[in-house]
Amino acid sequence: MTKTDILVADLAEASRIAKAGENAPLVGGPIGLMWGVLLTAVFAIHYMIISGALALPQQSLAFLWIAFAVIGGVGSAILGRKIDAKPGAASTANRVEQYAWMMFSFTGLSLAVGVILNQILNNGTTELWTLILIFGFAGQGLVYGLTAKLTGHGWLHFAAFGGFTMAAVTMSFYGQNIIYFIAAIGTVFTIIIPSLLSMKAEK
Amino acid sequence: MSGENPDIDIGAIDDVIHGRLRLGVMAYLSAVNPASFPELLDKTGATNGNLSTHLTKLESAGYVRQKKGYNGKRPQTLVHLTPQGRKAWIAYLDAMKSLLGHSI
Repeated sequence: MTKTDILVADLAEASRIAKAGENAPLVGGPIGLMWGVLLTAVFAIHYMIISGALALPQQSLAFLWIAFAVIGGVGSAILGRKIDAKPGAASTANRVEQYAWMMFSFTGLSLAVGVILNQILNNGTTELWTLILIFGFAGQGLVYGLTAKLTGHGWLHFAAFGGFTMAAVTMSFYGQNIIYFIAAIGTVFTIIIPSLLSMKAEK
Repeated sequence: MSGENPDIDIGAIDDVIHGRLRLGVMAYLSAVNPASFPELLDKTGATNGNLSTHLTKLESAGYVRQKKGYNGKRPQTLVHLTPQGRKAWIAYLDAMKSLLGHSI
């Protein structure tokens, strides 16, 4: 074997290893699934409260959404620890996905703070909360689309399409109670199913 | 290809990076950064001691940084590619291109 042969063989091996890292699967599926199930349940309960199907006062909605944020936050921290230990968790694709969803959650948080301030300072309508739901679906479309483009996981474009479609659909029902029921069903398609597909691809 | 250029100047190559295992480590870290020690063991097929030795060499050159910590209650060593290491890796690949042509 000449020096060149050895060099080429070494580079071929390095290339194989680099590709293994580059093609690492997305590992955030379990966190997405948790948020999807949680969100579907909370939208459904929200709908049942405001429609009177569940005999609870309207004030209980605040507790419902606070519980959602706390359970989701704790769940993300626990699952995130497990996910960080997975091979390829720090690949470019996974970092892009993780950061994009983190920014998405800050977007939601900033809107929630704005609505609370609006209600305190301007006696704003509680209907503003519904706008976060609609922006949430549009935001999902944005995050899925960016992740699909930057990570090469093209199938996420379908999830992006689902998010944008749900944003349009829910906007068309703005002002009606049924919007929360529609959102519960939509979340199955925009978060739960993409998360399950992501987990399947990981295996 | 071996017949075309059998006497390439190995001296032009960064000796710290070169070597199958260190090359593999740098290649993986260029895509997954940081990577855990067990992850590198799995991807390179190295033994514990061998990987440790080569990581120390790369760390001495400032190309990687090993950070010992915990994931939950379990000890974990994460290996980071440093900015200096990334520069050296790019320079290494450029040197390879010059030596072997643009086919790599």
